[in-house]
Amino acid sequence: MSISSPLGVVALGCALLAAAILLWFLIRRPLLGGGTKIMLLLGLGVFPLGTAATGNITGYHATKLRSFCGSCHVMQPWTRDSDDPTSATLASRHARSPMFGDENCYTCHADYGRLGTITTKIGGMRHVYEYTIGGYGDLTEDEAVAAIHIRKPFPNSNCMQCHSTTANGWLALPDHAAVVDELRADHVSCMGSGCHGPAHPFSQGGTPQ
Amino acid sequence: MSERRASLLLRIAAVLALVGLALMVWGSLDPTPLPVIVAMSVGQGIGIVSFLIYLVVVVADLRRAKVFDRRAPP
Repeated sequence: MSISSPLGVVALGCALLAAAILLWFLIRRPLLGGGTKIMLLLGLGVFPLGTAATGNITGYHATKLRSFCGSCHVMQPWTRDSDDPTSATLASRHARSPMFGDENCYTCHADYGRLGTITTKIGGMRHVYEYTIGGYGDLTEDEAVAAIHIRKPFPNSNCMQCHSTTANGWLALPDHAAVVDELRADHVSCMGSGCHGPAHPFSQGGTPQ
Repeated sequence: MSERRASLLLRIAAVLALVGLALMVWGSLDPTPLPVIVAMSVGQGIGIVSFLIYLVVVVADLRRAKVFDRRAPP
């Protein structure tokens, strides 16, 4: 979050107000009358709640940004590819779409459905664990490209958030029409070789298709 | 709860809240994985504890003033 964002100003403003009240209480040591307790309600409750609430909103938004994913150095090869305007990989081409933009990692890799946001965040916590304690933080970028792989097969349902498989133009393609049921059932991957190929071919030993 | 003890508890709560606020602001100003996680777990956890201490002091104060006493005052 930049301090120039409105929520950043609110978060910092609430924190400064709370800190001013708390420091006043600690330094001046006023009597514990009703006025002091109301001030402490503001300093211990209301203003910290404002900081926490705005912090949660901005924190949640920050975790969806590609720059957040790339802040762990082992993810840099993937985020650099998305940043590259000349890259022909599936991931980069999606990143150039305004529908994905700076949030292309999250948009493609998030779980969808009723509890999707929660399971996605739990998965993100596992990434942090693997990076800080699991040894991935010690890898070089080259080692990371060889070692990091997707945990489970990429579900077609994530592609189908946008590509519904019902549009006439999509169904008019013989390759699509031939396997539409298998695609919807996840028996055939959109990113299989011969179809669209892996989204990050440099880490799969393949080439963009 | 004595006035002295209430004051001590509130001073502890104030110090905890300052630490929690610092962690929360850190996560907001530097939204990388570690600060964000620390802010949303440790920082907010400390903030909740400090507010609970405040509530304990206030409830004890209200009980001492017999605000919760069901009997009507004489």
